[in-house]
Amino acid sequence: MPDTLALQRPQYFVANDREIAFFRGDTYLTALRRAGIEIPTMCNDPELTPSGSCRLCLIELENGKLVTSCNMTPQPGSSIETHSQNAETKRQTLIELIIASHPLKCTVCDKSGNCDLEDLAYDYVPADRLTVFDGKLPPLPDNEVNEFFMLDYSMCIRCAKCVQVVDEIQHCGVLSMENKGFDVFPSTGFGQTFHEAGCVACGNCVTVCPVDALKPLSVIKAGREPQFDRVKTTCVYCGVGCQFEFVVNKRKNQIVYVDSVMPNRLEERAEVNGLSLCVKGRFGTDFIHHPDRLTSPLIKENGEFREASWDEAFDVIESRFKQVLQEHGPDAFSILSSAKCTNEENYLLQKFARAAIKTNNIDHCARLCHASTVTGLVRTFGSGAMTNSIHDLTHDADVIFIIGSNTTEAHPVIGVKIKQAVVAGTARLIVADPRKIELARMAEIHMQQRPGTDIALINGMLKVIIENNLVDHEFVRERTEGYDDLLRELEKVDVAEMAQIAGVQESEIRDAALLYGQAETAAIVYSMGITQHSTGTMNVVSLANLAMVTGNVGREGTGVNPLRGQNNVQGACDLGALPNVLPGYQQVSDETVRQIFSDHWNTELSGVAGLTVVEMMHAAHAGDIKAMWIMGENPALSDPNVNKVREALATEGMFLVVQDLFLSETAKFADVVLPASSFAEKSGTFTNTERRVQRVRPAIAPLGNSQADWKIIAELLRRFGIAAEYQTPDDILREVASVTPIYAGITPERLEPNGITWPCRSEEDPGTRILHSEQFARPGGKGRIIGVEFQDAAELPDANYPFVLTTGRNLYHFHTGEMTHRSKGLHERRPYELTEINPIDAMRLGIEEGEKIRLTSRRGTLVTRAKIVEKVKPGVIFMTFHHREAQANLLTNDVLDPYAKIPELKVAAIKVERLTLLAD
Amino acid sequence: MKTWAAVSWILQHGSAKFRTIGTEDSPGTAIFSLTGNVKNAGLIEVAMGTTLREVIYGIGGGISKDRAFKAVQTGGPSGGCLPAQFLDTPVDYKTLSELGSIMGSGGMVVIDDTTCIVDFSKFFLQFTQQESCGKCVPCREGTLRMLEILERITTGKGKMSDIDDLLLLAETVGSTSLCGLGTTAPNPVVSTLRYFRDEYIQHISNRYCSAGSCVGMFELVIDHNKCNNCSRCQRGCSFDAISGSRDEGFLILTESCEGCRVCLETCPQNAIEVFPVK
Repeated sequence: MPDTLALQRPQYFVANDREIAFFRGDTYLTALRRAGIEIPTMCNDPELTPSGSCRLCLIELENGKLVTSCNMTPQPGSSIETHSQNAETKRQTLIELIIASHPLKCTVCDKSGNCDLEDLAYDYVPADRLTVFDGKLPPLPDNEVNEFFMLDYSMCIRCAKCVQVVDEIQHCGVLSMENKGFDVFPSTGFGQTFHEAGCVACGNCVTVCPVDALKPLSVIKAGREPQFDRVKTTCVYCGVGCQFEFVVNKRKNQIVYVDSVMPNRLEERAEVNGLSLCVKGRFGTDFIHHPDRLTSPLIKENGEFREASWDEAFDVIESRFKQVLQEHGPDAFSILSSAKCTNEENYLLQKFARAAIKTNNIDHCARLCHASTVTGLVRTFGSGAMTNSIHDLTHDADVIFIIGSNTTEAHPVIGVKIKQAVVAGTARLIVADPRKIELARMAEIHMQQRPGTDIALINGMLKVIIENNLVDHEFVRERTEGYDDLLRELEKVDVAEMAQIAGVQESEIRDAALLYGQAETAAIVYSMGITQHSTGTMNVVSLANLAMVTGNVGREGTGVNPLRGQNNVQGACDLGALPNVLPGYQQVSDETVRQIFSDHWNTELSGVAGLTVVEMMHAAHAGDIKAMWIMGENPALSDPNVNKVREALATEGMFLVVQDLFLSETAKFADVVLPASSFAEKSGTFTNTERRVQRVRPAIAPLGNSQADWKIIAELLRRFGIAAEYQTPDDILREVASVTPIYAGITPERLEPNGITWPCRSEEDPGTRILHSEQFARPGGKGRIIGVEFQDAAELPDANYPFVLTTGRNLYHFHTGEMTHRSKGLHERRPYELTEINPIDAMRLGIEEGEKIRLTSRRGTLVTRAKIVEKVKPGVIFMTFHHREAQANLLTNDVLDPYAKIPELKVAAIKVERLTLLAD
Repeated sequence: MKTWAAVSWILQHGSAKFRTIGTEDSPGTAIFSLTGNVKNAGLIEVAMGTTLREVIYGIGGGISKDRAFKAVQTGGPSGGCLPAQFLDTPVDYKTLSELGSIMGSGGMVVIDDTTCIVDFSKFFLQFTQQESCGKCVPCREGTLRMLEILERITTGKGKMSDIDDLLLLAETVGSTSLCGLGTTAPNPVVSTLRYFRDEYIQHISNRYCSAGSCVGMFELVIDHNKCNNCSRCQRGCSFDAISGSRDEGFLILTESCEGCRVCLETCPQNAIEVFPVK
């Protein structure tokens, strides 16, 4: 990493009579590449251990010996030749040898133009020697073809990079080298398909393949590198914020595939993800070109949509909005912003709500995921964001405590980095999750708590930590307040009782507490499993307590780290798409703050906090909302108790505008539908889970007649008399910086190469990787410890509804599936919901694998298919909310956390029936 | 094992005494597995510096059936092949490596004039090629391609450029392989090309294997001056390729001969000679 390099004094060697600096950890190859000297390689990747198997990176030492530069530590003062006659001759022969075992199909090969072997052959091999060593060909096992990629063995050069990716990056165990000598080949073993061998289709092996052996299906006959453009951008799925390249066929305005950004120097790789991506990012962006994409504005007349021009659509919206404003006032509006849209767009939409309409009724789906993080962490730390960076979390933590986060499926690239830390032995892992998730298998301790009992679990741990005197008294004394409050609360706590409540062994709580409490650096990672409860805020407070009591805040490898679910949910919150705060978490109730924005936007602002997502729906249901604008969200599928939401959206007399890529469940209720451009068609920025603001770049021109959301909002701003003369989103970002202190130093020019993490208060500020390192963000600078009493979930199983339903995500889909079900590969891999049920329950109810079952709660009912697994405990049912045909949110409970107004999506009482039995 | 044996001896007798055995650069003894066309084969231990002749003709008792010595391969499959001109060479680390061979694993295979040198180096290369783990390009790919060239040469399909390619590959495999197996794998080929290049060229340009080993690349003829009409050759031939009788003498029928060489090996008079195919 470059910043650590800067701290070292360089040493030097001489290459080709030129002095080359090197640092600790360098090899000859890395030092030479940093100095701009190119050395050919076929098997090297800076993120993999140098295997030295292709032998092409030869350098000649002073004694005439040839060595591989990739795995040799430079000797200070040594003198080497990189392209001596001897080395070049050997390189040529080696390439001739590789070609002898590789078909010369370059003229019809999909990889041509982007093939390492083709390039090297061109550089080194005269035409008359192309076939000089031809003879026996390597073995040809059956090719792999799955939903996403294929492995063509006839092209394989056996460099084993794919196997190294499996062993060193993904830790999936899918591939190893089979056979030996000339007969060696990468193999899943026993003739299994990749899927059978446990492949999660991350495609990281595909991306490192130097030839045409492993390739995405979408690249076949879709053009070749010279016809392609590569556009680096930020992934649109989860909050990790992976960087990748769209490979675009410009002539066809078509995205061909997604590739990792792989400069051959480690320090130039994306800090967030390096070469790693997950199946959704790499193979799931074909929804962009799906025929369902809206290409024209739609206006509903007599219950039917008809196509309309943009002008007509804008006219209708303007007149109806103005009419509502006149007749019912600003608070008859509610506006839903989007965690999928850019920072600039979220900023503009909240500006529209506040400056044009003068209401604070703006919110977005963060309400449904991390609202309780914000309320919980603001109370305790003063700032509701991930305290640490992904890098230090996965490199410097001695213990990682994951609670309520199925990291490997919901945030796959962070999941993989945690796996790497555990395998490397740098981190020990504690997992608390009601399911035996993948990381539970790698954990030292897995506490499989009953859904909704997290406070009991954490209070038990806190009690053990205090009993064993593992409290960091200095930290508690110097940096926090309220410790006595916690002590008073814990007096009532009995560890055995807490274990009983949570349904785990007392010893597990004790072991976990000791492991966490004794660690030098311990980090907490959590997600929806903590937040989506009626006690969500207090769950978060409990975790903050745990971290503060043990002094695990403000240093590398520590902290409380909520993993944000949407690509830009962090940014949407940061930029004020929330009913109570202006951009940068500045309270709307604060007159001084309001004045700054009033001056800037040249209009008066409302100081009354607005409605939250669920409250908006309740208000609409009650007939109090007369106009609603929903940008890129799908509450008709994503919100709890969706039956009620749909009734709200269908309310007579409410004018509904929906702006989306597709005619979503929500859009079907709209009066006007506006076709938005996808993230591949616009520029802007996303802020990832670690508060890093990163670039989004347009790869293709907007499809059909669609428009970028920011352009749509800007037009409506102008129609409401608010200046919005933005040429590009960069102009908006500059405006953001001028009114948002935590974004003050984040300008378009500073976003290269790895973005900036906020708070970044000036153009000189490098950004902040770790929050609260000196003092907490609360007034007075102290963290607040708050004693929390355990409280049961709002709805517990009873005789009529004996099961607990808990919801979550699956690796292959995202949220309501609007994108992933329109991705061919993802849909094919998991076309329908498979609801998890324990074998004991299944046996009792006579349910068989894959059988249709009916789930019913007090709010709704649905039919799904059973997947019988021990992953869930008896009495617990798990389902995802990705599938339209089995909408988990028909069942979920819309009871709210009193502070954050987040609904209890993670616990609902249901009953389970065998459908065939019902039919009888 | 050999080292530990020496350690115990040195501890008992002291290093000074150990140094009196062997040469200055290579003190002590060497252990060989003497085998091939020698009369006495087996494990032997000699002082460093003993000459090849002393080993082969002294301890080994000379070449089987008193045929002509052709070469000796020292050091196992990774070793090198030395011709008769080096018979008086002292066996020690330094001298062997100067001549392109090694002490290696202590193998010492002696061959006579009925062994084809190309076939002989192919035999050793086959071993290393099969033992390759397959990780690095030169060893995985290079040893196979070298073997394929040798295969071509011994079946009469060689071309003159093969020798250059062999040397090129040998040099690449030898200098760029990842481990010792690959870096020494070409040694038998390199050393035989160094000392028996003519025999390779004969194979390529005349399609002639003077050792009478490569099938289809020689004819066998009975030298009637040496033949004593014992009939062993006729009785041993599986292909009815030898006509005649003890009274009128024997004749090898070229068109029926399969080149199996049973006659050549069974002839007590060494009366069967090898000629190029007419």
